[in-house]
Amino acid sequence: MFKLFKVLPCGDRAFLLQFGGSISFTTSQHVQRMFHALKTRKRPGIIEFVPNYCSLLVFYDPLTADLESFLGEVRETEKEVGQWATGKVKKVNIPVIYGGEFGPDLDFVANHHALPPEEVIRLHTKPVYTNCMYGFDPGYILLLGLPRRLETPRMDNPRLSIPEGTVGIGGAQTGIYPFDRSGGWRLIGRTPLRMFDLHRNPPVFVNIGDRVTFYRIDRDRYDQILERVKHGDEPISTYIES
Amino acid sequence: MTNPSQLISNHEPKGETEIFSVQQPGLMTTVQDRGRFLYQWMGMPISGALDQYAYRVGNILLMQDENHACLEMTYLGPQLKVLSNTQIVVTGADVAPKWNGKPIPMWTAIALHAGDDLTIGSARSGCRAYLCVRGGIDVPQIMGSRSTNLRLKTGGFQGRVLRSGDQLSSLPCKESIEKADCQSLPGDFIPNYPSSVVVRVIPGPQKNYFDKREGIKTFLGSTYKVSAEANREGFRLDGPSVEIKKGMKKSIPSEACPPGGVQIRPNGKPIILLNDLGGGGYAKIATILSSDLPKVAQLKPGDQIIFKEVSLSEAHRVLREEENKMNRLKKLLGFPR
Repeated sequence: MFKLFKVLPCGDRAFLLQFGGSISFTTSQHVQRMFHALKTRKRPGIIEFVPNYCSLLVFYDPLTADLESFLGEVRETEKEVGQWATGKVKKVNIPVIYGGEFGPDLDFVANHHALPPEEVIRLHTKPVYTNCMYGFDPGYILLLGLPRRLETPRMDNPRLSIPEGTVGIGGAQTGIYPFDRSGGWRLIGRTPLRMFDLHRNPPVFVNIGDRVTFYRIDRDRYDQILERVKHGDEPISTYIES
Repeated sequence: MTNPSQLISNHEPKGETEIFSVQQPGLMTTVQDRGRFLYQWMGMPISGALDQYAYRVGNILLMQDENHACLEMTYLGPQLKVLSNTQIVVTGADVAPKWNGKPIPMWTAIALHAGDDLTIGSARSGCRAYLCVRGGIDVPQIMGSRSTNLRLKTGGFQGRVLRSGDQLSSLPCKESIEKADCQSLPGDFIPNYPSSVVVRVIPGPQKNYFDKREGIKTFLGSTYKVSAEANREGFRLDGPSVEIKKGMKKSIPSEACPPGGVQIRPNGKPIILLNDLGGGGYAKIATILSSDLPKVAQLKPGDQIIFKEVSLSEAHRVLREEENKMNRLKKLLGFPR
């Protein structure tokens, strides 16, 4: 299927296995499968794999890695994963409070698309998204599957501070800011769940390739969940369908 | 799978010793080590000492594990009160360290005693200095590393820069304390930190976004200046704008990148990505050789940088040479193994 991946050096300790040039569901699914297939084996000098939308970044130790045999293995793995079914993915349902102080850009997004805010919420909670990769903050899931009608350009001047858990739309992407940080996405809601928590194992609960849906909660529910999350007694399994 | 106790090391007393009380914290002093690996897939940047050469050599001079945590000190170092006998090495930027008011040499293992004052000055050349201590700085290990990431408020000393009044501990060390005393570094191992450097790069993964006669020519043929926006996440550079080929987009799908990746922003200005940020969304024209990253780490705003292209095989040759140099140093010092 993707027989001709490209090997693109990223300096002297990493290279990209590039499986496609633009963001697409098929390319990303292939990256997800390759990531899961390759990471199961330890090889001398091959340190870690980082999935991107279209590629896998491989970190290696040039003093000990045998790159020729590794690339041979990648080719073999490609043949195998091409035949995989959807693979072992789980579905994660994420509660979100939309609009108001939690989603200050909900009205902007609605106006931008000439939709009522209620329709934006309905459209955003409808799809089953796929977690393709993590952005460059721990727990920063980047999802594919946003309805075309919700694609909204980023802000020209990013906000300097966005609270943890904020759900946003940036172009064709949607996701959740896991830390208080700056960013240019349009903010439509917030989840009370912690996307990254060192006291949990693993600290993230959405794996690469997992399916994600959002569902709407009201203020009371948000406060309840947040309170339990703060005290560490909200089992994350509540939100996972296996 | 790992369990949480492996993600955050339990912090029961294991014989660690309080060694420093922070009198003045310096401008930006953080705990760093080799870096945090294996968790980049979930978005965790590697962090770690920006100048890995100075950091590594510091630990080698103390005849100890190269991965022991140290203090990374930016521009202006801290003033510390020594609480118990220990041994230290200051490497990297020349920060004129003083022991009880008297100058002490850089790149030299020095014994300190309870009650001593250790004052690290401001950088006379270079930008980042490293204070390595016997046994390594003791902070909880998070996901396999003691490095600080300030943006994430994670790792190191409570996820932040040091403040006055902080008390630092070191881990116990097996080797006898006399062993490394006064061990100093042979001159040819001590780097210079000029304010204008030539940095070797190999072509980046998106080199096809740039024309050889335009963008790449501009990039390799110009002198760039480190802007005021330079921190552990990256250095923005000022200088001639690098042209992106006509018809090519100004951004790429988000992509992870090792430290040293050089992105071209939509305005044509380069940005060097560093340890506290794991990637970005702009085309990467080049990647800096890992052996040359220490030079970059020592640049200050206003300093100049010229990029020189080499092949990947040349980069690997340089890297092996660097490793041989480290082994030679260990042999010279009578390092065990």
